[in-house]
Amino acid sequence: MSPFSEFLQHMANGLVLGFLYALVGIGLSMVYGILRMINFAHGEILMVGVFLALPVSAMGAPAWVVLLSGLAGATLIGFLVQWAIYRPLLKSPEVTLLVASLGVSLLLQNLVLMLTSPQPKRPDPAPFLDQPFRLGEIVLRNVDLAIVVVALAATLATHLFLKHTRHGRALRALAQDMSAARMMGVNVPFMVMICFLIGSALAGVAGVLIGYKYGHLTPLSGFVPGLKGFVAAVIGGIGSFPGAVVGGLILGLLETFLVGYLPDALAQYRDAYVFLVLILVLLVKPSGLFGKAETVKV
Amino acid sequence: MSVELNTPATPVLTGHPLRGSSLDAPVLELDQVSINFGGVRALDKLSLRLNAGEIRGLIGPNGSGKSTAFNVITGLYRPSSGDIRVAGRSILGLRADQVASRGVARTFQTLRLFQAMTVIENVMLGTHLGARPPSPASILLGLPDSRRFEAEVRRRSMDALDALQIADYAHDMAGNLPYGVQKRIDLARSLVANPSLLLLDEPAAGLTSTESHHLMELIRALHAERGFSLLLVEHDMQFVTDLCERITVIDFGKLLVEGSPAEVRDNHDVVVAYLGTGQLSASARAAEGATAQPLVLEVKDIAVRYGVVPALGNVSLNIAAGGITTIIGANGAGKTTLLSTVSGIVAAHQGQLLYRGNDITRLSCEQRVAQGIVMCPEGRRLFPEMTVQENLLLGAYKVTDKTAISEGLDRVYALFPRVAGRRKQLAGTLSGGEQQMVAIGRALMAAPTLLLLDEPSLGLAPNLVELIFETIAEIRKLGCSIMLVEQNAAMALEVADFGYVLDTGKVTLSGPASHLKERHDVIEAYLG
Repeated sequence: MSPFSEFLQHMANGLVLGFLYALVGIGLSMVYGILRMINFAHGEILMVGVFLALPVSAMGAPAWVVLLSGLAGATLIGFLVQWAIYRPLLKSPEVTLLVASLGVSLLLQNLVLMLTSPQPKRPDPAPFLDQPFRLGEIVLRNVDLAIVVVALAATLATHLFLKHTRHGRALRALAQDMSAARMMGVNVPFMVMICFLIGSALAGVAGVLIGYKYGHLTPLSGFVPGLKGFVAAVIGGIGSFPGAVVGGLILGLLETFLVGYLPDALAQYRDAYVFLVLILVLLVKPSGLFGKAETVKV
Repeated sequence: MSVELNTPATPVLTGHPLRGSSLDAPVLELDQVSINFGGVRALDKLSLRLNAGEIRGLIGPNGSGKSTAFNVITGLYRPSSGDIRVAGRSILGLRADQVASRGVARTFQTLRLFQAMTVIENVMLGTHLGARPPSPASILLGLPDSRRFEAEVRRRSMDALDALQIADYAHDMAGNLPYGVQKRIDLARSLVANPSLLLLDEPAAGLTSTESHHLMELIRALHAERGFSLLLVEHDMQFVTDLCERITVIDFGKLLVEGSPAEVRDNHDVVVAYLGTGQLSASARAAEGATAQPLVLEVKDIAVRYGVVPALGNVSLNIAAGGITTIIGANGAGKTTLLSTVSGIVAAHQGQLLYRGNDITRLSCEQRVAQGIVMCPEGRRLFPEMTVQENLLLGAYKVTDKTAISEGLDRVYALFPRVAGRRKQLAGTLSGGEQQMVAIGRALMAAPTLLLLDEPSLGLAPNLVELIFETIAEIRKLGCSIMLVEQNAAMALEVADFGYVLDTGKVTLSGPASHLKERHDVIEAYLG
């Protein structure tokens, strides 16, 4: 394999990974944009979504049905968490929400651990998704292609919703000036719920795709994707929708290239590099690519 | 072992280098100071000289730059140009704590006490600003110098509490005390560092007239005893004129007038800055002799508090259908609170709101919008990263009929041809006047029956002010009732049918607008 096609191969792998991070990052970023809250339980919502989709897969359902059940499962759990825990705390300081989300994260992890087992699981193999997909010298699998297509479609749908619908406009307005949005008659708790549901749905989709790609799911599987989605959101500028998408892609590429070109001894610390990137971004440009610096009024 | 209190080894708790340094230099000099905030010039070549021991009032209408001036002097903001000197030495580029160590102390407009600490602990923190503490090692080991320091800090803090007659509260939790006492704790905290220059940001705001009179006596006594210089921002004009020897008036960040209280009160420019000019084309003027109209809104005995701070006390007033009712009064009189209570943004503590005969006191903000009570807030509050058109569409959030929305857009663009050509532009990039037009247009998109307009002319150039007022008269013709809060009282009374004068949360005067215009007490409500 020539160095150039090796480069192209890393690029393709990086983009696929990046789309997964973007799917996770969008929800985190949107919630932060409105509530100024980092939802640490986001990764666990993803995990619960996949675990709810596993029985569907075990019944022999086709992959797209499993994907939809992951979406539905994550949306349901997102609804419950928001309705039972975050909604009563909406008027509390942001830090209360943040701590509550840490609690929800641990609660969901342990609940799933208790109800299932720590043994890794995987969706029933879908032979079609595992078949190789060639593009010149680049070799991927059909599941990678599915990730790109599904992520693009989901991102586009979210974009159109935000840009062109009445509730989408209200969501953006809420992120810019919550009390002015109230003056326009926007029902704040309702819109916050909508925002959570969208984020959870995208996380559920990402979860099932991760399941098909890596096939190793434990109750702790949501943790790392959740953190990386957060890093993606920070790179792009937390609170910004396009930022989360671009941030996810950048992070995916960066991670793949670092792992691909560093000597083997160093390459195994892939997660460490991601957080090194996070620290660098926070030091150099804390507002990210698309974010705006926040000023504190005195 | 007995220790002498005045040994040189004692950590420095003496006065500031400034005291005793060259006596000729003024305590504070602002030399052509300018500062911009994203295109808005908050201070425009402002110069000011404060002599040692002087008590100076700094006044000006809302948004004229008073608090910005304080923030520049205390090092919170850095001016874009110009120089600031304390006792003859420039403080440009110093951090807030470094400025404080030059002997400058301040209080804040909104209280910034540590609620969960006792009064004495709050006040003792003030010494951090003024003295060099003993080394951490010494504190940890409890060496004599650190214990002496602690005792000295405590003694001085108690002195400050004593001077402000709140020593009895020393060990109470600051957050549990009445507002009037909290204001005095804040003042005590600024005094304990023994400042040579004290900046007070609205010390009397939120106080009853008895409390504020008492506070003034205390400040006067403290000044006589300690001889600091005082710069004071205050909206209670009585307070300022009684306390200050000289007053500096600023407007749009510029020096307007400087002189004795009497000179300032009689100055035409000052009256105009506070009351506006009030010249409108004949068509925009209120219809004379309007007959008694049915009521669209009855405000009955409404009281509002922010935490412990009373904002409105038992206000009752009526808004006639199809007319313009204006609420005027000095800053901090409770005008915005009144509008926010009607719109549902702020909850009333007691009282009742009747809208077209129905009780709406318990309805949420969005339910009121759906019924046609729509707020156009002070400072425009557009969504800056959305286009003009998107802002307008958000105004119509509660309107579901597509044709009604597109008719609404047409109507707004016809009313404001200037923004029609900018419908795809981001609202945050518009000029102040255009933003105000979009803000009014956005409120109109909700098809209001009662439009709440909060300070629509604030911060606009005179020709735009006229345009906005003419538009308000136009809007009335659409059959919408208007509740108008305005700083430009003359203009507001010109366009309105009826007016209420609000003073420290109470209605002090009401009547047909044409009568109020003639009343001398209207001017007094503003200028004391």
